[in-house]
Amino acid sequence: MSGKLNVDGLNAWYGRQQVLYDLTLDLPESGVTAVIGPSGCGKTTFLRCLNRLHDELPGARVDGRVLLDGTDVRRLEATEVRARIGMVFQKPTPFSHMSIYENVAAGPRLLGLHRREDLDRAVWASLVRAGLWEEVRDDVDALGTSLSGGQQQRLCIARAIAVEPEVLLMDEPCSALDPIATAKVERLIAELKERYTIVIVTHNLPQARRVSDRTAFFYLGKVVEFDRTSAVFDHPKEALTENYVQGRFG
Amino acid sequence: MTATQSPADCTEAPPYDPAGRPPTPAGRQSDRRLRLVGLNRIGRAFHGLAIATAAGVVALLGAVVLVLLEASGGSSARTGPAFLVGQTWDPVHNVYGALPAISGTIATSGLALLFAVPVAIGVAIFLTEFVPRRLREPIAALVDLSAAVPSVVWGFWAILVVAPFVGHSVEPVLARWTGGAGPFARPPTGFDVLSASVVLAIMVLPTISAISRSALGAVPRSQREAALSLGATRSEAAWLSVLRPARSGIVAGILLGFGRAAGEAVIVVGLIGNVYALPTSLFAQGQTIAGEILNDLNSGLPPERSALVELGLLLLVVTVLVQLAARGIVRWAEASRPRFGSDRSGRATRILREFGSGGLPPDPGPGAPAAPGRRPHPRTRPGHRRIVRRARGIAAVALTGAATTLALLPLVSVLGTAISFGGVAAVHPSFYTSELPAACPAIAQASCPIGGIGPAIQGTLLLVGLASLVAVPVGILAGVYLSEYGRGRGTSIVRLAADLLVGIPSVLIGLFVVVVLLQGAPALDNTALAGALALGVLMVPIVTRATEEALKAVPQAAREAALALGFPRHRATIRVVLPSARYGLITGIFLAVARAGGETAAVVLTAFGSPYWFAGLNHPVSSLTLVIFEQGSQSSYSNWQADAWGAALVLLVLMLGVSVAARLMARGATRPDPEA
Amino acid sequence: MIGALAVIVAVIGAGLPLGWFSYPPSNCSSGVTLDGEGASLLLPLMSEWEGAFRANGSDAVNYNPAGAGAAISSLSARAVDFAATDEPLSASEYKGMPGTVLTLPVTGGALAIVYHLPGVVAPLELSGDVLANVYLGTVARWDDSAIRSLNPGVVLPSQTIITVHRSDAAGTTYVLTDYLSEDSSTWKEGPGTGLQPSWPSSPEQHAEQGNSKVVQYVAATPYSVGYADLTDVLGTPGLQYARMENPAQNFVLPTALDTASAIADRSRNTTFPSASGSWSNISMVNSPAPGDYPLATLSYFLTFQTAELGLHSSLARTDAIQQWLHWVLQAGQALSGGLDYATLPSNLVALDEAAIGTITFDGNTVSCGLH
Repeated sequence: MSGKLNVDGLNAWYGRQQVLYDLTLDLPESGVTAVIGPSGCGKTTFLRCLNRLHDELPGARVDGRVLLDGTDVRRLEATEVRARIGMVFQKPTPFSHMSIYENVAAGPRLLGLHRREDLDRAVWASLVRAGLWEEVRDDVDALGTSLSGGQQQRLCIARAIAVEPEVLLMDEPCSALDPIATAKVERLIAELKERYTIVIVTHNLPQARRVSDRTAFFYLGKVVEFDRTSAVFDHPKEALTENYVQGRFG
Repeated sequence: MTATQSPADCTEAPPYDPAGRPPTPAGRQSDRRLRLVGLNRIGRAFHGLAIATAAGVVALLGAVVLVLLEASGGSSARTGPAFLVGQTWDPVHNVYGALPAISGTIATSGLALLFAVPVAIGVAIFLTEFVPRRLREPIAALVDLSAAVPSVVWGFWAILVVAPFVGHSVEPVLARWTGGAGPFARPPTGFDVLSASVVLAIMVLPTISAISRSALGAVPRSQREAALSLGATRSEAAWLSVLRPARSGIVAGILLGFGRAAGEAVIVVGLIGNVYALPTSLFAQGQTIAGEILNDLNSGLPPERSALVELGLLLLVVTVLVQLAARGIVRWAEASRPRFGSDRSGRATRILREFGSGGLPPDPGPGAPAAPGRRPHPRTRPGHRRIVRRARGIAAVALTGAATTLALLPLVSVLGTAISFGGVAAVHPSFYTSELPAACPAIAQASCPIGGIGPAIQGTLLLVGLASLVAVPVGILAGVYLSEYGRGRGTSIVRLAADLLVGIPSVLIGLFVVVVLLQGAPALDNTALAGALALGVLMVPIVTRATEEALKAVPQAAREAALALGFPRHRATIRVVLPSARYGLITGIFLAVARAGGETAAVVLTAFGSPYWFAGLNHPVSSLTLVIFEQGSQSSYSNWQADAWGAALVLLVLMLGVSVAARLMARGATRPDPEA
Repeated sequence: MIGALAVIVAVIGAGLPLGWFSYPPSNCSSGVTLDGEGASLLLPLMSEWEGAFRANGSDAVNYNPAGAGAAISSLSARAVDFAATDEPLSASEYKGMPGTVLTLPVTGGALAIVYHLPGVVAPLELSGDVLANVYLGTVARWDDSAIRSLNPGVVLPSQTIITVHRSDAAGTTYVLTDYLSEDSSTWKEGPGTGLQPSWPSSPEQHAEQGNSKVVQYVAATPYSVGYADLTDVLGTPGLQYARMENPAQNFVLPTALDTASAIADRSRNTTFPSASGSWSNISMVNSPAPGDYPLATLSYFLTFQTAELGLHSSLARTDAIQQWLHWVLQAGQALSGGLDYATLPSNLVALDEAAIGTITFDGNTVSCGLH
């Protein structure tokens, strides 16, 4: 199998309710994959299955395989999976009692970095890559939560990439941000996609079109269509897809 | 979608709502308009009543302080500031000094915290982070049930179980290890500062644990998930996301625990040896302020009584300071750290200097070797670090699990002891309808009648019922004021007064009632009425705060709907808001009733006790706690001890029953109300 | 809400049948429960008396062994019908009472010095002076020369003495300190005589509430010494108690017989005041006869001569008090021997009976006939 992340026959339940039905996709080595579809119903669950966060929910069950570079993530330690597959949530969640520096340094500290120079370098590099350095360079000791909403989300992105993951999962990262912050984050995604495999769940169809290379259309827990973005939006194979991207339902 | 929402909901994600945004101006205006509605006569009367009760709460606090100040005047005039450093308590020559009591209080409370806090926090962490969801409710319920055990039962059980264990097993070992040096210097007897501190710790542990748990639980789940998604183990995630933010809440809980331990009288007099001297070692006997008051108040002539009140004032000052400190810490912690722009630690300048203000060096690309100084990729990190993290995680679970087991042991032991010693008596129906027998010294007769605790049960029900009759309506009305009518400075004063009243040690409430009665109506001292009065004073602030919290939980939309229909404010409150809050209200009443039912020190000082059935409000009355204290802890006649254990069993069943009922009520409160 | 209210109302209803505030009507009726408070030294006897008195008629007595100090305080606050104490009112206490108080001796008891010395079989012999030094802390170990010189031939362990005293204001303490003050000038000038002196700090101390707890503690704690009433001591098998030195320099064991003779002898040589006077100088300690036990005491009931000063005073209540006192002096005495208390000498009985007759209510003597 080619690609960074391979999903093979993935089924997921939440209690008695089945949420994902026999998903099979291959996510490429780099570039952005958008996951679109009507409200709820599986997109976030799919993401959480990739980094095994779904396991943390009580009553959750997963069947099928998710392969990271050929290895089933269920065979790896959960902590290792999550260090290699980072996640950014919809609502910005910097650690509320820690400074900007400490937020970004949290991940590297977990991995064993303790020397000041190493942490400084990791924090600086992450903040630069997240495009936040110029804005916070005067005081990295301010509370993480003292930043604006858009800055907090970029802080969370910086925090996620500080552990140098290979894949970055983003669950509607801009839905809580204003248009200017959204634009900044989209620019950031465009820069990051050289380095990381990015999977982004989004409701915002124009955004999906703007930022992604490939798009997967989910409907009621099944993948209806998965192709290059231009194909999905301009020449969808399925009628369902066409109806959705044309805005006839959603 | 947040993690707590079931994917099966398939609903729109909620819009981003940053915490702390002030209410919109439109909201404030509508609030003012709504308040103007309902100013008719009944409404005004109701409003006035609510204000009166709220003012009454403040007045009660003021009365306690003023009465104690006035009654201690004689002693403080006589001794002056030397009272604080004097070391004798001499009613024969009327020389009184507080230092041994002060140092005993601080020593026992401090030690109690030293023992209780690590265990309590361990329990809180275990329950919040590590326990499988299915087991969480039952174990948490068990830990909370420990809070329902009245202190008189702890004291009685401790005399029988803890003191001999400590005196014969623990203290000799400690003495041997340390060679009897310093704090382990005296002969080990089991009735000393150490035992008293251990049992105080057992009593205080559920409180600290509960406060810690709610501080930990107040942290949103998303923080934990953010930490987990960085690759943290469960323990690491707990530390990063939950423990650090909860620090201030936990510290506040510790302070409140100190206040409770310092005010405890009944446990202390049974275990500490009652010797009025500075404690020079863990194995030494001593005395605390609360213990001294409980022992001597009823036997003191006016000069000694005045000195005891002065002692009580000291305790009051300590308790109030501790409570204010607890509130202050939470408030201080909630304020942000330095605002954006002040580079406190110099990190920013350091980084700037090191890496320049330019951009990153060009990215070498995925195939290039790692740059020097760059950490190897996580995938290739050495195995032992993984083992260390794993081991740390397992150690965390093991330690906190051990703490939880330790926390549950006393509850199991006290229940077992009560059942085995009191079960025999409690099984006979006549136990509940008979009076106490005569005390039975061994040579008096071959068969000692066990008698029963009928009057004691009647007395408890009566005292609590009477107290509730007044305290519940007053408390509810005051809570209504705080939630519905209050605004601005007045509200915070009333709330502070209620909180402070809740924290006042019950031995001081008993002292207050005794002093008031002796001045105003001496014939009513040592009567059922006095006991009910003391219990009522205890209950009012509890009901007040619980009512306020319950009413605050009712959504504003409910009020607005009623007012928009044209209801005047008082009708909206009575017909709509109060019924919506009924689960919370009943829970609050249950809590207050449990507190009153298990109260000993205040009742000992006021109600006198009696072996006979209720004979009138102006006569002495028995109660379960009095029987346990006087026939159990304070005597050694075998038949009386059996009665006391039977009473302890009955009281435990009652208290645990009320606690379970309150829990079920609370669960009912969180269920969505179909009528709302 | 309604349900909770209903529960509360039902609960209060439990007490309704007996009336909220019960004042017995002012004519002579029965069914009065007297409230008494006092020394725990009397507790075993009072328990017996309570039961027997109740069986005898329709009145009853509720006795709270809160200690003599509490009783005196309650009496002066007019919160009890009678106080029971081993300490007669001191001059200042007597003056501080709101009215004339009758001091009525009702029985005699004794104090035993108890201790716990494993391996020592025969009773130790102790003198008041040595005992005072033990409680003062100057005699700190069991093998001190002072104790050894009184007990030649006894092997005493080299252990610190744990002194046990009462934590409450106790008549029993009063008797002990009375004895110690008579035998030791150091004690008299130091802590002195009283219900609750300032106990000097001996190396090892402990205090307990009530005689029975003292006994229990000493029985459980090796190398301890304490004091308690005879009945509780004799009723605890295996408890060791000392022979105490009397003024005739004999070391006497506390028995009911020796106690009774001590009281009888002392009473013969004492001029007692009238019941309405001050008894502050009366003491039964250190009776001079050769076989008498030196730590004997009278126990007194204290009550107001003008009964309207008493608790919830009424004619019926005053009558009940008189009935109770009469009963104690007659039938009650027969029960005291069985519990190791001393029967009251006849001259004191006569004194008491005369005093009971002087109790008035609103200025009138009360006579409702025996019932």
